[in-house]
Amino acid sequence: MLLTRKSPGTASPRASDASPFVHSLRRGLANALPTMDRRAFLRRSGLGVGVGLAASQLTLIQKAKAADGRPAAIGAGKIEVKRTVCSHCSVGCASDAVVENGVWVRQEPVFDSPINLGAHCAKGAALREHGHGEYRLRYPMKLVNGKYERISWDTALDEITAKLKELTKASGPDAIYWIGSSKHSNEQAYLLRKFVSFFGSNNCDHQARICHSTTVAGVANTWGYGAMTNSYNDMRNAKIAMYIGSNAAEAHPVSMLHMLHAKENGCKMIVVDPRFTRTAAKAHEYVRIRSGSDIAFLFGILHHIFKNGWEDKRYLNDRVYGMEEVRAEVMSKWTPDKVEEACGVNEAQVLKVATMLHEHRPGTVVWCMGQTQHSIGNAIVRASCILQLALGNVGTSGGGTNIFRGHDNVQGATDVGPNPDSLPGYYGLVEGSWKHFAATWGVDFEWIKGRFASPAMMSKPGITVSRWIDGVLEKNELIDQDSNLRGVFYWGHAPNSQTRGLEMKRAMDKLDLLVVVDPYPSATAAMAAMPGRPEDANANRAVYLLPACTQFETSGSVTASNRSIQWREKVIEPLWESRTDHMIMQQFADRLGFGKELSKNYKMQKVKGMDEPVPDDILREINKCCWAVGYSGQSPERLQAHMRNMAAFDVRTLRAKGAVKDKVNGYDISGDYFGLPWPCYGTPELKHPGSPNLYDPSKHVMDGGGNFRANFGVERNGKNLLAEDGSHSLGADITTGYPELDHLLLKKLGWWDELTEAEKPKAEGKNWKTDSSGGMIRVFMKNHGCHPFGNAKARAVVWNFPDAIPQHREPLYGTRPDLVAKYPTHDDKMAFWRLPTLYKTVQQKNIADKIAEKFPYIMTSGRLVEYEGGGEETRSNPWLAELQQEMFIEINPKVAAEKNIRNGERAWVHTPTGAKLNVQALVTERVGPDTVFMPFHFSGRWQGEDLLAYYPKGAAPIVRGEAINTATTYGYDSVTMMQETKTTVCNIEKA
Amino acid sequence: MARMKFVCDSERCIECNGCVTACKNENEVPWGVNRRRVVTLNDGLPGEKSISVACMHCSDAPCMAVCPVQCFYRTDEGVVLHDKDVCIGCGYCSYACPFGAPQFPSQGTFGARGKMDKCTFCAGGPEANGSEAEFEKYGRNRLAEGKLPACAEMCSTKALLAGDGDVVADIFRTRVVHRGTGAEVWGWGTAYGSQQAGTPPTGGTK
Amino acid sequence: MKRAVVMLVALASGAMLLAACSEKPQTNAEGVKHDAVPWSGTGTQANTGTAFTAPGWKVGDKTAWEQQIKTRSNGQNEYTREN
Repeated sequence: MLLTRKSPGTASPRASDASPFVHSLRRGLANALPTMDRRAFLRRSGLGVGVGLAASQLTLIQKAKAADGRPAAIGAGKIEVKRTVCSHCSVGCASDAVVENGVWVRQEPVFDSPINLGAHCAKGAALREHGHGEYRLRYPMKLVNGKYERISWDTALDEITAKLKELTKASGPDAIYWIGSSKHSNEQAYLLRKFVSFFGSNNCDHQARICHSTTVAGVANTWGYGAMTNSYNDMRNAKIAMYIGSNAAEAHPVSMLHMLHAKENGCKMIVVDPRFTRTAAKAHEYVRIRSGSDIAFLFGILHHIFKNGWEDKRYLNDRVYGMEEVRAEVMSKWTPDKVEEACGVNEAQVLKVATMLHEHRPGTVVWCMGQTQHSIGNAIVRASCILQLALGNVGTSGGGTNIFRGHDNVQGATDVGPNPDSLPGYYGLVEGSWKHFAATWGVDFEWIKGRFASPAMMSKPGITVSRWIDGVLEKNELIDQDSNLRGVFYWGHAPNSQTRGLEMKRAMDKLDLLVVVDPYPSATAAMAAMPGRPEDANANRAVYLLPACTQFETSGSVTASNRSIQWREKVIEPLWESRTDHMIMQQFADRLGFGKELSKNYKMQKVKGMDEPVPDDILREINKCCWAVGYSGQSPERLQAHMRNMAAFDVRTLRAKGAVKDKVNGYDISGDYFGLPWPCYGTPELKHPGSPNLYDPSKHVMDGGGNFRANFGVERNGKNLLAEDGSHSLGADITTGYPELDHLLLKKLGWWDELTEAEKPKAEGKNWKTDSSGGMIRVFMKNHGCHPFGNAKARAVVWNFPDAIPQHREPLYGTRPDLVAKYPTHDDKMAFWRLPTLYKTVQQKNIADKIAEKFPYIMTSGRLVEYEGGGEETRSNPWLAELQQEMFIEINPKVAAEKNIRNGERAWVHTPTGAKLNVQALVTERVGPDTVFMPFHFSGRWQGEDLLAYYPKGAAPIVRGEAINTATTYGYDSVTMMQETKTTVCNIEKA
Repeated sequence: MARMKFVCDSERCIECNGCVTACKNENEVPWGVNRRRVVTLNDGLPGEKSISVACMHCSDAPCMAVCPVQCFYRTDEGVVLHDKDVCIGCGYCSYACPFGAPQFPSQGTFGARGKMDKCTFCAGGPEANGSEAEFEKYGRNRLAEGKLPACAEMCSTKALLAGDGDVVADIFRTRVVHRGTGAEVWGWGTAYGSQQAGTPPTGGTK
Repeated sequence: MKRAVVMLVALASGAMLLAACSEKPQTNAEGVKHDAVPWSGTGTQANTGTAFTAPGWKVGDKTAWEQQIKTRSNGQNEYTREN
């Protein structure tokens, strides 16, 4: 009942709203089916199906206690405030941990942080639970007769080392697979890459593979570096933001602080997603798109842009190669009818989006897994890059491609950590790189070479984490290494985030050695212990669980998605018997015989009486070798000073507002950008301020400015690949395009003698990436304002990729056989990342088997705000677990009606793998009738069965549920082996 | 001194539940009791809006009016608190509250209701400020430390604001002015007959 | 007045009844609790803080506390953080 008197004919206040989406409640109440809040539909006030809770959790108030039972006093004891950074997502929210008598008692927001301004999402606000660690893995364990038994550290380390030696003797170092972590600090990730190199293998990887590997490859091959070009803060400067395949409200909640502030000040927001997500709820324009058809949509937009002459012609002429070819293809191939057929978006809406992008510049494009996790992920991300290039939006504040990374340090781990195809800093696996690192590491190159099975294996990229199971299961003659994989280390990585869970179980059973190094047992422990097929069981298999520390029990640096590096202080001593990852690496290295080599350049510190490499020293080593990506200027001193003086940085520009001398080490932060976002070129003494927005020629290179990278040659097909005359960063002495810097170029320019006498011998014969003095960078940038990686054009046509111009191709498991005929997938590859990888065969077989009829729904997965990654860590936190107690599937009301499934009832989900999942049905219009959605964070139930019995006693997550990846299917990206998780197929029935 | 107030800007609320876990964290609230919850309207539909709800610390609190043992009291700043030692767990306040703020943990085989627990605006209770007893019964007393409720201080998008009512209203007004919309969510138009900020009201009182 | 008398009588009888069962009386005559004011701080001594107290205000001073709260509330306004 309204209280106002309305004169007849007056429009209601709501009708004049600007956005068509600020609707009245009338629609919701009268027209739609009664929807239920996702959280309301789950039983909240009691115990759900998947919940097992200790009785102690039900008492009224819990006292904060130390792990050994000491009660915490209230402000009476010694208080220390340690500044740390949330260890969940890549926004990098700072948090002050208040510690009393060694117990983490309180958590205070850090309002000073320019990145999060004190804000947290559910996970960040619940960080303090890491200091309780009730469900953590407490001590080393071994699987004995189906149950986990406690063993001592020495026993565990000795036995595992003995097994490693036995396996490498029999089958070579490539028989062991090291799955590293995006939750490691930079120092730990870097050390793991070094460790695996000394072990003699490239068989290592981490979560980036299944997250943004396609982004990194696609974007780097377009214009230089494969990272977020601007920053979350910089989105405040955008006039429009298009989220395509990103659910930032749930995956990067605090980034919405900046976005919604921008929206408040006029920025338009478009969300393109198969689901009407919580991010879409905030958008001005929502576009529902068929999962995986992004290229059709993006090129549909581009079609209108070219047709209307809206492209930035000057920008394209000066800074982009190959757009004419793209234009020709887009105009002929991606007409509105083709676009609508492929992606489901009609011409009117595509034109509307194109017009909005045209009229609001600079604009930014944001993407996450929605674009990356496809067999054509590398092409999809490039299509987004091409769109932004056409609009002239790259290399300017408020523009760019803002790619939100996933885990807290997936950016850092990608930059300097355990990648199978590169060394830290993206240096390739070629001899020159190995020698560069051998020099930094202080070891003999020939010694490292000797550690490998052969020189060929030293330069061959390893197997990817998305395919390690095939490294075990595939026929030996088809694998591009001597032996199958026989041992796997799950070091800070969950198993339920990789596809093909049924086959993963088989692979786990066949292994000779499986080691989990993690603060939590993780689903690996349960999967390994549960019974499998008798024919897969390996009687010699040994399974160990080693308790690792969280990032709050050590110090170290972490790289946020915007490339800013933040330093975490150690909050508490390691809980229970856990040890830090770098201590564990050192202890394994000692036993394997390369302990001294591993930490040659580091001091040791004592933690609980044992030696642990000092993280600051590891960072200093990173500074000495990772010139190419600009990890050389971020010394521990500079980073720590930044963390202590956060308030001095402006929120919009990230730049220090004035001259502030740090009280502890005297470092003056003036001119710096917060966290010295890489690339921060040169030595720390050069005091490069970091690069907040990449490729921005409006600034001097010593002010964070830049241009596109010269990485692909000087010319192609008679066309210039370097930047056109007049296109260069502000104040550059070379006003034309130029190639990347090496000693020859420096000499030719006549600037060689600006090097000091100490620098010259180190720079002789080298390029800017291998010059250990940093002198060439100094001369080129500081003295002459030029960019060491050259000044070239971005490539719209990437000739070294399977499709030089992005092509839409149907997913391997899809619901549209008619489109498969028009847009078939790639040909099979025989030796791709050491494994045969099928495309056409699988897709054709699915057509022949009429998969689309038997499994008529597109099955997609994604994130929830309460949980993170594989989920065992967050589902062990009672404050978070209470909010999401059930694994569920979102079903459109039309489908639910057809299947006779009511909201809240249980359903079986079947996929072509033969797996079936028992989940709770959430009937909602969020998904269209052709798609179903499940979150991927759950594990601990397997095809209807609770796996509680298979976890170590007392160390199972509170909430357990089916893992969607138990049932997902084969399909991999054609460049990076990213798994095709965003689009597969399923059928549903009432349980 | 103006009253203490909560305001949740539903244009900014993204239902992240940061406020919920911040409260759980700061006050060590047990499983089953949710002092603060996020309510979503039109879930999954265009027009979806979320708002974070806890005790509104009403000036004429229904809970206080109906309590048979008068365990409620209101501080000078407008914060509504109660005394758990006096509370008999009858549940009447839970019926009376339009926001569902009073919560009762169920314990034991017969589901015996424990003492009522609710949002305290992080102002504790009648026990001595900041004492162990106060923390055990009521949670943290942040006001006495010169801080504001944890939920608002940690809100991911600064949708939830808490503190001096005048200041909070100013902040909200700044946003409404920048946006040009948003005030109607609170029923400004319904209550006062005015349309968007800046346009004259249609009939009715000023 | 009458009301107060009635209440007192009811209370007295209530207290007597309960006294017999040795239970604590569960009502309070005035209905208003004694609770320390927030600006008196959280320390064990009156008008002192603890290590948890936010810096920048004088514990015990009402005006200082009000100012502290206002300032902190204003901190929620991120418009003040941009140039």
